[in-house]
Amino acid sequence: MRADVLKGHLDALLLAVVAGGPAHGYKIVEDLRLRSSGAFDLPEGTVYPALHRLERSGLLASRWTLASGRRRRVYRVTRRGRSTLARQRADWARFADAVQAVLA
Amino acid sequence: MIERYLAELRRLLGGGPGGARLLTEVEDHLREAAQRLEREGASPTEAEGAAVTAFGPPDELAAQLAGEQAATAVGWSSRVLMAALAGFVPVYGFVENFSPPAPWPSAEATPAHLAWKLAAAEYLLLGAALVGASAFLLARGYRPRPGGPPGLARGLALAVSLSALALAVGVVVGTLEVVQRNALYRDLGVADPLTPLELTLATTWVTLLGVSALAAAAWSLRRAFAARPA
Repeated sequence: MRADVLKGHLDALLLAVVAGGPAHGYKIVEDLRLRSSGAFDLPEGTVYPALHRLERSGLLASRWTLASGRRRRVYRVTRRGRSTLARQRADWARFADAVQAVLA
Repeated sequence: MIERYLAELRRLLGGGPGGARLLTEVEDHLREAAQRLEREGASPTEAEGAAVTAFGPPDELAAQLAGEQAATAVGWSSRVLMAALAGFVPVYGFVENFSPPAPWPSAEATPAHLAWKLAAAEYLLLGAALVGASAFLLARGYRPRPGGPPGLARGLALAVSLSALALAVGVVVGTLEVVQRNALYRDLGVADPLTPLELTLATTWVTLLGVSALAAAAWSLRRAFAARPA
């Protein structure tokens, strides 16, 4: 799937992936790819500005950890992020139902 | 290959804490990706090459981060501006409440060198408030399009800067008017004009407000004009 198709939905997708448990950038990209069965195979670097934006918006929080001798930034969803994700899931379900009803 | 990629990204990002953090995250990502590919049978060179390719071009990443940083800078500078404008209100109230009534019979009789300064300060501060509030409201809803042109961020940064400049000039002209009016009151023997301590406190406070607004505006301008579309 083309990366530009994902752009409007990237924030919600990242929130959904991180809601599964704290994760660093590489794992988030991997989970996104696995959970979409390879459909969301975007340039991996594009997730970092989005993660930073979500953190600045208060939807994600992060902290440094140490792994394999390297500093690693691990992200988790905040309470506000969870409520935003719940709202986005509901919006998406309504949208998908409506599209399905028209296309079917 | 990873080192070369990081060096190029470092050059594109320039300084700043956001860039340093991104570089650390990118290095961790690329090394983990390369290690995984090596475990799957790729040679070290192939693994690094594939990791870098999958990550995407560094100029695109740098442009996206710059866009995000510009949006953040514009948001914060508009908040600082609104706080500075709000901080001006108590000083205005203080000066107006603690200054004795004018010794001249009507507002129209105000000496010309004070009247124009008062009018200029009021118009400048009103303009700063209107432009600043508009920029603040627009900045609240502004989300940069990844890799998109930074035109709106630049426009907002310019509006915030214009407003901060109007605030700063308004503060200078207004302060000058208050100081000169107070001196004239003393010369005319008006009872209880503002004391030097009161004048110093008020002047220091409004100067701090003006400088803060200007500094924040300069920061947002720098960020907004550093951003380039991917």
